[in-house]
Amino acid sequence: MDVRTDYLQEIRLFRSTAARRWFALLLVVLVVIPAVVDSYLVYLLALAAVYIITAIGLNLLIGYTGQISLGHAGFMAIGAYASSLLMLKLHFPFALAFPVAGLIAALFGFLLGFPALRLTGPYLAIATLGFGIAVAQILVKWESLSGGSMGIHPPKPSFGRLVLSGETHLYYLTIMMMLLMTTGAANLMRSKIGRAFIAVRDSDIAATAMGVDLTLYKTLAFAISAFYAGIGGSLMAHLVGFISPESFNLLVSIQLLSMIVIGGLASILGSILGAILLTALPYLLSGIKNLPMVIYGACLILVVMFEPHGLRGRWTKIRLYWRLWPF
Amino acid sequence: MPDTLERESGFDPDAPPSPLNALTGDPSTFLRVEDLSLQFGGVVALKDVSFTIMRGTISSIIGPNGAGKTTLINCISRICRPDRGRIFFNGVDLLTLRPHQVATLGIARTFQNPELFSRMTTLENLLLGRHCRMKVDLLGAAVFSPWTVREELRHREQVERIIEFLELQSARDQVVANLPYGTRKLVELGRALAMEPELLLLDEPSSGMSAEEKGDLKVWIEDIRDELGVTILLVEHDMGLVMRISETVIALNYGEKIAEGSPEMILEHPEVQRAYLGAEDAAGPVNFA
Repeated sequence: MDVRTDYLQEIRLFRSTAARRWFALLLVVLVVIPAVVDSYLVYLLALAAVYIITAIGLNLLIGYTGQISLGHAGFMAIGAYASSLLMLKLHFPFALAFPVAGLIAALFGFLLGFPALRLTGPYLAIATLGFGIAVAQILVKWESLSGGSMGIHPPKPSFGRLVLSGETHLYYLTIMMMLLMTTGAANLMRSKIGRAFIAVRDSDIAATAMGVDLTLYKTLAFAISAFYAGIGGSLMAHLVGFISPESFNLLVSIQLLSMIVIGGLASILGSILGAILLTALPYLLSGIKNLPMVIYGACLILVVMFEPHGLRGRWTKIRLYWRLWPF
Repeated sequence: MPDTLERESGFDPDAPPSPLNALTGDPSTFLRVEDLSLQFGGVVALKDVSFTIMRGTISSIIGPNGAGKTTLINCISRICRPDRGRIFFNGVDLLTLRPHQVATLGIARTFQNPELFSRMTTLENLLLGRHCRMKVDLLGAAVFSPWTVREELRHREQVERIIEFLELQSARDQVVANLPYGTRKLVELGRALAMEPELLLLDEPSSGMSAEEKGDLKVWIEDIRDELGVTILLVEHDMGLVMRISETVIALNYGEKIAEGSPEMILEHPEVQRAYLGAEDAAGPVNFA
């Protein structure tokens, strides 16, 4: 067992050497995977990475800050279209269009944060739901910009001469971004800002008494969350190679919500596990005729019924079991 | 992303009027409440309440249930907005500030029923008390720069000192929702102390505490004043505690101030006796020491 001897050890991301070793092993696996498995699986993994980024963003908002959103597909759409259109119409290089797309989504998130100052729970859910639907509708109607319901083909990302064309290239790009964004979120949550988010969730009266500016932190949570969704959406656009308003419908928002509930609210590990499971499940079940959605639904019900803390809760229990074994 | 965190971490020099310019009257006046009135519908919660608190004192607000004690504290910490009246703290008119800015001026408080961040540990709750004093921006937090690490460690040391002071070591890493009531009240006191306040408002600090815990509490409140130099204003039902620690007692009844003075004087005061023992008044159980 690792005994902590100073404060620095307490604020590390990985608190034990074992955890650091496992993480290093994971990195190696992530690097070599494209060389061993077929390109379809590589594509799936990249897709899972996209959803991990978005799910973490959503969990920052719902799980940590306690503000619900049913419109996150809208932020993904904004990120996806912004990054594609900046490249197609304004000829931005990918390296610029990509972060700008995230920032544009963040701006919309910031603005959506204002109604959140007055609305809570189901009312906020409806307001954000409206936002998600509105974004999709606007993209359908504004044909001159978005190509309407026919959709558009985002260009392949490139850095100078290097064009990221195949699955493998895009895989490395999304995985790298996923690692970067996950680390960013984990850092944020162990800082003053992350604690303020949780404070807003647990008791807004006490948070105010501590000097936490509710206006600032609620809008900031929305902005950061939308930034993650925007980055996720942008990556998805370039990965899939085709986007239409249908790619970001209400079902996507609900799926994102399912990911974090099933993975575990207020947990970054939970967001990752949930995103992986819900990305993999439809493909794992696609071989079964007629039934995939039924089984998919049943899986969701089972997890919520038997593991209220999500996959992350199950993981904690398994770890505890091995730590205490054989007692 | 809006990178405006700096604005709230140290308080804006432009927003509140400078304490030096606005200082009026006696310079030792620390907190001054003027003609405070507040009605909830037809209920008069406070009516023309005025008093001053000197720096470095321990003062208590007493009164039967529903006298307006908690409302008064809530007005000072800007949870309630009074209909009329003004509150000056170090010469700054608190009612011109936004609620969270009160904390940045150096006013901390606890609540009657502990308002803790229930799914955080004791340590994390106390760290929230350092919120205003930590200077970390969004980017620094996201990359966890060496500056952020230093800032985090520096404030952790402060928090550890408070944990030691209140003997909360055993609760340090426990989620506060799992702690016994008395300990939760202590955690809340610790969180308020972590803010390094100049003025500490305690709303019934001893309620729900055992006799032993109350004894400790008395010593701690005195230590907080003597060692940390914090001015204390408490709302309290336990008359024994009030009489032993306060220098000044303010008695409220039906939202009005009926008496103010030394504990001995208050005990003798006919209005106070009537408020507590009067026939027409269904006051709660009072424990006169």
